[in-house]
Amino acid sequence: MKALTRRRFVQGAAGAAGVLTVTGGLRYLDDAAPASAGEIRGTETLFRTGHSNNCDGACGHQVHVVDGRIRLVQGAQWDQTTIAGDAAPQYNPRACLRGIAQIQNTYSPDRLKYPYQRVGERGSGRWRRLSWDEATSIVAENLQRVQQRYGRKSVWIAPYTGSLAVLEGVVGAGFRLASVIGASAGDFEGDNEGDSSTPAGWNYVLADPDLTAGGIFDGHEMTDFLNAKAIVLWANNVAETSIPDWRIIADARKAGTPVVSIDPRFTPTSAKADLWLPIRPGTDTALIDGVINYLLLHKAYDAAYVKQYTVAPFLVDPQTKLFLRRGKSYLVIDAADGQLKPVEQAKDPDLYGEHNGAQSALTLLAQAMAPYTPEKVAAMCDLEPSQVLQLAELWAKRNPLAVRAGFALSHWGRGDLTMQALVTLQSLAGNIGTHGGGITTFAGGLTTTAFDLGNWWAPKGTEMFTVLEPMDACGAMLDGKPYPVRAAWFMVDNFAQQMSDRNRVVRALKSLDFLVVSDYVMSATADLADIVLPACTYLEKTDLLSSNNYYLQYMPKVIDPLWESKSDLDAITLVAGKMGYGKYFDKSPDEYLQEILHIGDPKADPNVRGLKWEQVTGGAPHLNTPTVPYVAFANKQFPTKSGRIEFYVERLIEYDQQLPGYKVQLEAYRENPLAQKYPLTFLSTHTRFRTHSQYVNLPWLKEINNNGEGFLEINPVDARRRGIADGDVVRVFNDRGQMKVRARLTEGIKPGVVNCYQGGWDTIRVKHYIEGHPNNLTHQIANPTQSVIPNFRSNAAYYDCLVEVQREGA
Amino acid sequence: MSAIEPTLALPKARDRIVGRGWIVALALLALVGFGAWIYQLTQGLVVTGMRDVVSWGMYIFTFAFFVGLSAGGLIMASAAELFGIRSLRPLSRIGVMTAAACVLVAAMMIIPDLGKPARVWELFRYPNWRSPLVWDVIIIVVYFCFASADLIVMTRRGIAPGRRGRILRMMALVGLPAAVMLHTITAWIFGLQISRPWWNTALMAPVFVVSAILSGTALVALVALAARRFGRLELPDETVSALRKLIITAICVELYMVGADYVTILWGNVPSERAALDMILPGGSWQWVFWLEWIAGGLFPLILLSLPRLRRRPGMMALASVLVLVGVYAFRIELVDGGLLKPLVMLAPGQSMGSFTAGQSSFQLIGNYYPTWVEFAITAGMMAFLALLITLGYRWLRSLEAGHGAAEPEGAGG
Amino acid sequence: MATEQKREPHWAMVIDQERCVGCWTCAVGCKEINNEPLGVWWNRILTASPNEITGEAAAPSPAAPASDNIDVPHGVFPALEMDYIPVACQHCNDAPCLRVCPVGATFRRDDGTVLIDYERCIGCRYCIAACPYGVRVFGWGQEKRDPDFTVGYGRDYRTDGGRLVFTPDRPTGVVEKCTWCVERVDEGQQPFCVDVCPTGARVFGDAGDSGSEVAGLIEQGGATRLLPELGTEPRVFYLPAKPERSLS
Ligand SMILES: Nc1nc2c(c(=O)[nH]1)N[C@H]1C(S)=C(S)[C@@H](COP(=O)(O)OP(=O)(O)OC[C@H]3O[C@@H](n4cnc5c(=O)[nH]c(N)nc54)[C@H](O)[C@@H]3O)O[C@H]1N2
Ligand SMILES: Nc1nc2c(c(=O)[nH]1)N[C@H]1C(S)=C(S)[C@@H](COP(=O)(O)OP(=O)(O)OC[C@H]3O[C@@H](n4cnc5c(=O)[nH]c(N)nc54)[C@H](O)[C@@H]3O)O[C@H]1N2
Ligand code: SF4
Ligand code: SF4
Ligand code: SF4
Ligand code: SF4
Ligand code: SF4
Ligand SMILES: [Mo]
Repeated sequence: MKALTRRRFVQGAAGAAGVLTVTGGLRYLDDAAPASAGEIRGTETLFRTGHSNNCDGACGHQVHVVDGRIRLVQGAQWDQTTIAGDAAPQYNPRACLRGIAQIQNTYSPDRLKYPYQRVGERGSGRWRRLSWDEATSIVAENLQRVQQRYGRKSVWIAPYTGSLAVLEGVVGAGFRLASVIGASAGDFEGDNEGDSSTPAGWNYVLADPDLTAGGIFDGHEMTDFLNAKAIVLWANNVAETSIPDWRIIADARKAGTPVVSIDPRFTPTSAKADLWLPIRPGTDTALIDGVINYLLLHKAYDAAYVKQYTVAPFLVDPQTKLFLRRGKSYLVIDAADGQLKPVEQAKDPDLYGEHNGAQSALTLLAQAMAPYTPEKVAAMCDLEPSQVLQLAELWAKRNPLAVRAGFALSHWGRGDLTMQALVTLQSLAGNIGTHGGGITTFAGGLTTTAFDLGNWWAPKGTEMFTVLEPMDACGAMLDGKPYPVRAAWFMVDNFAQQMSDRNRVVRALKSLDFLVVSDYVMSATADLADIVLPACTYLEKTDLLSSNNYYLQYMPKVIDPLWESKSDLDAITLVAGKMGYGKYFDKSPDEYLQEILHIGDPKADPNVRGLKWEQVTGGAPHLNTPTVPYVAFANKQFPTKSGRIEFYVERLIEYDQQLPGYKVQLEAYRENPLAQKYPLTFLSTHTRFRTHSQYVNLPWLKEINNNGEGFLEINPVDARRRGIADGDVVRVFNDRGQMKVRARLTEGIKPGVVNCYQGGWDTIRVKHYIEGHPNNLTHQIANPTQSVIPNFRSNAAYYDCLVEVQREGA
Repeated sequence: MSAIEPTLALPKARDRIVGRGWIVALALLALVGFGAWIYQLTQGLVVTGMRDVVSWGMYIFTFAFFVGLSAGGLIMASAAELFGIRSLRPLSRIGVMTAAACVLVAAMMIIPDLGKPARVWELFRYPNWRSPLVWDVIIIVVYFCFASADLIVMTRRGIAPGRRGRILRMMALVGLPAAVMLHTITAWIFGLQISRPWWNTALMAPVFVVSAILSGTALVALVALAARRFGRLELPDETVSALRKLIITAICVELYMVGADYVTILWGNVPSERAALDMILPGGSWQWVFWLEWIAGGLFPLILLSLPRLRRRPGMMALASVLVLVGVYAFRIELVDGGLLKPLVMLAPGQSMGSFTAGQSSFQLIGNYYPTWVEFAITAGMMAFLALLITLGYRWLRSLEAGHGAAEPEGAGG
Repeated sequence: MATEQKREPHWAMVIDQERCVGCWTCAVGCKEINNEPLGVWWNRILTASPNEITGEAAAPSPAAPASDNIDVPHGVFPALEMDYIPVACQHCNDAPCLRVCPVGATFRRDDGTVLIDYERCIGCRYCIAACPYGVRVFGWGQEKRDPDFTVGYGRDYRTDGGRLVFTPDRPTGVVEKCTWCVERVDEGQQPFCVDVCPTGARVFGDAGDSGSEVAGLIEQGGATRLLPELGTEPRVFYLPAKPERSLS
């Protein structure tokens, strides 16, 4: 009996295993080789394209395709020559983690697959699937209806920065549509979502808007940083926001060049810097003023440069505050003979000349900067006086010195002033238009002048669209001023999430008669739409990328559009056709590109002259830049009235800002009474784990980044005061709104400052913050000074924001 | 003389029913465990609570526990022969049978832990002689063969008592070192690993041997007490008292060694070692292990076994034995997972776990481990199977005796 | 006269911590080329204080980080430090994983690459317990992938007399880890993580060739290794971040 028990058991075991072997369920018992796909079937095709998302990278991507499906994405090679065949810089930026994750993005389950029409309340999240034909008919009818009823401009087209490609991105077909149908549209320069205030300040000093069609913005090619003797990364987290550029910074540093990081947060960039100045945010102008004061006091500026290329010796009329002029000439004192004369005739213009109470611009600057002693600056910026001196001495001793100024400075109400001060400082140091110097925020602005964008946006027979800035557009929707906007088409733009003062934005969008959104995911903006149109990603359509560097990157269609997605150009073409404007949209992407690039036109801009189409499609040629690496103003010709660097800005006299003396920000400054109630400065910076609101939900990136869940960086000192522990849910709030996230305690942020990375989704379906969104807190307060530069006249000051933080449940 | 003669008497009718029920229950439990294993085979080890940081769990610490259990019997039998400890001799056959069963099930316990169980034969085909696991496989096989041989010698008819005694004594000469080696090598699976400071102590082997003796003795005591209760085993007081003293001594030595290790770590204060110990000491997240080992499995049994009032009662002895087993099991958990929970490289974000659950981190800085029902089922099944083997083994011994009269184990003094 | 023999390369990898900004591109790249499912990372980037586990010049960080998360610096504001340590298999000369593997499934090629034979591994996971660097992963089963088709290299790869060391889809029940991209390296390419590192922080090459870049970096850079006191002699070398540059 006992033996039987045992035998029965063994039999049972064998039987069970046998059954399962037969059914093939025991893959873990199976001794065969692991499941293997064997050799790749089908042919593997390689494509070179450019990654057109707005991350300041503009990398080349090499995409491997097998059987019509992408199998691998990696960085691509670049041509080592310019269009004309000259040697280009030896620089091979490589794709970052987000670039590699594009394979995930393309096939993401989050992709918008079909056109939809909303059913029920706007923003209720209920949809009805449409055919493209139905959807585009509805769009065409509604745009026409609104235009008939409220005027042509009452339709607002908003193509923005989700993509920087030429045909469909920030400078894309949406503007062409706007011109063709006579609509208004957002302005692309600096995209007005926080990237406009520093460009405005740059133009104050370096470019007259009257001479540059409203303003320009440009920098140095990255490889030029190898020529610098010191590099200052001012409010710029290069190691996260321009990862591929870090290679150059690291090369320079390896060669002995010191790197300074000025940032209230200890970022991966600060961690690698030789000097980290944890400045009180918003006070950078004061620090710059301190350095200017030091250079002037210690005569440590480049006197020859200043004399030749700036307005330093020009005399300023004490009454009018304008430069003393004779005819068109500016007057100076000639140090050679002490006489007042036009600057062209002076042998040695006196930098500190004086005539009947009229003092030189440099004298006025010195007077204006005199209060900015190291002690005073240190107190304002919450630094040590020795740190201010350290920075000033660096400027005095290291020449040339290159500055990379982050757009973070532009996320402040007075970013214009900060940039004005910075340009002033760099001109005193002789660093403008100089290899190894300059102020670079982003590179590649050149291409906008090299391309024939005018005809692309407003084809012959049409008038250029009316510019309506995003902030003004909100007003136009809500209050009908300056004119009513009743319908809008958003493409490549996640306005309802990325624009500041989100509650106002949502109110504005909800008030519209008709809203159509083109996107490749169901964004927060698409949530509010009447019609959503599924867009292609950069891999499913043909385009050209030319931004952030000086290369032309053709973007061939790598795979066919997935599901029922269509390129934005195709969507626009369908709608325009139905509105009766088909003749303006009758070409292929390649044909448009050839026109825009002036292929074969001997009168083309020198930067693209001689370009052959095969060069475009066959590689990634470098533009014909005046110098290699490219340096803005290398010829020292400045598009200003005087042709010099005008650090004394006549145009700003009415704003009492002709010189860059420190002014408080619009909201986030210590003396603001509001700071009693909301004592913390709220930053919402950019992280390497996403590009704005793109790629946030990709599993690979989420796995590394806290599962994609947003968090609030807070210093333990501030946390302790509020009884907050690491991981606690906190409420961040001010009068405009609130959000809830978990607190992440870190010593890497200055006490008094908190940070919650921008870009996470707060859509009906996906929420990366427990509740709300950083832009529930930010404001739309305008800085009127900026209006003097039309192309950069409005700016969202995301970081100029005060909040209080509370432990949830406390 | 006859007082210490073991008598495997026949059970009463009522107990026979209880006995049948017991066997059926164990068999059912073992089948449930087997079923759980089949389920695991279809799904992969993802159905366990193990992941890449804590990649060894219940299967392995149960394995280590079973290996330890096998110590008692053989050591007792060998000691009885070698040193002529007469009081232990009544337990020799039960002890050796238990040892063989334990080591067999210990070996089986490895199988559900393997990712590719069908390849287990590769251990013999491609042995890597540098791997302590290979030594362990060898010693387990040797030990099982040896215990079986010992049992055969003890029970085989037709061996002259004097001759049997001589053979047994000679076998004991091998048995004792073999037992020590079994536990030493099993300990070395862990103790030789430089990557786990918690494991990497020279004390690992001695502690393992002592705790093996402790748990093995407790198991034999439990089996013997159960046999006395249900199987009419005549268990002389002298034997019980010897068992009691052995357990007390083993508890003390074991706790002394573990304590000495704690002190060394506390005093040395090397962060990587402290990290592991702090989890286990009171206040740490695994402190329950400490309480089970030191209080439930240490202090309580000591009290139960030494207080004159309590120690006489057989129930107390049984309870103490159970507590000792619990304590030693806790010690096995502490030993195996204490080394894994806090990896040497413990910097954010830690190590990826090897599985993905939306909304949960893929990384672990500090290991985390909760066995799943599958592991409980398989482990319980194995335990049931072990109990079944021991029960059946005991019945077999008894039937031998019933059929052929007591096999003569004596020869002592002869 | 002895004929000149073709010398077997002696691979080594150098990771320059001065360049590495902890961007995780190499880790995501590793996932892509090897088709690693979600939850599995053969390569990961640790946030540390400088030289924290490279033994040498280990300046104990002034204070622990305020939180256990990545990118949280060590120290107390404003005296902070933060370094990144990308960690995948160190291809140890004296590899504990190889020593313990009972069936010799883990083996080392003459060029120093430590590999796993997927057809030999019994899945005992002893090697996981033995590896001091936590770089080995096990195929637990029910892998989730995104995208849900095979990406990356996409072919089987066999070496050393037909031992299977790479398959397009991750096998279950066996242990895996960084392979130093043998399938690429054997064809004269760089490991994928080296190829994709945007900052040029990773260099791979023949340490036996004194003229190679890796040899040079190991020579002059004061290279350290992880947990050197263990004597595992990794073939991955770390160039520690150097003292700050003078500002004057
Ligand atoms: N709080 C806070 N807010 C900020 C900032 C901040 O620092 N803090 N930063 C601001 C800055 S600097 C910027 S530049 C803006 C950027 O703001 P956005 O330009 O709105 O940002 P993205 O998320 O990059 O892209 C917008 C949308 O375009 C879609 N998209 C991408 N490619 C295509 C395409 O080819 N076709 C179509 N139809 N859609 C496409 C994307 O899916 C996404 O939903 O955000 C600003 N918002
Ligand atoms: N990964 C990634 N890269 C990106 C983007 C992205 O979304 N993701 N977006 C791209 C775009 S459109 C932009 S505009 C750029 C932005 O590029 P950056 O300007 O480099 O990025 P931010 O994160 O806005 O800010 C950089 C740093 O400035 C600091 N800062 C904030 N306020 C102040 C201040 O008042 N003074 C000083 N000195 N520092 C301050 C912040 O702490 C932050 O660490 O990044 C581009 N690159
Ligand atoms: S996201 Fe930016 S940095 Fe990254 S690959 Fe794309 S373009 Fe390059
Ligand atoms: S890719 Fe390069 S810089 Fe980025 S984490 Fe890896 S080694 Fe560091
Ligand atoms: S790092 Fe770990 S897995 Fe790699 S060789 Fe060394 S011990 Fe083995
Ligand atoms: S899991 Fe595989 S590779 Fe690791 S030790 Fe076991 S058999 Fe060797
Ligand atoms: S060498 Fe290959 S397998 Fe290893 S970490 Fe790099 S990419 Fe991954
Ligand atoms: Mo931006």
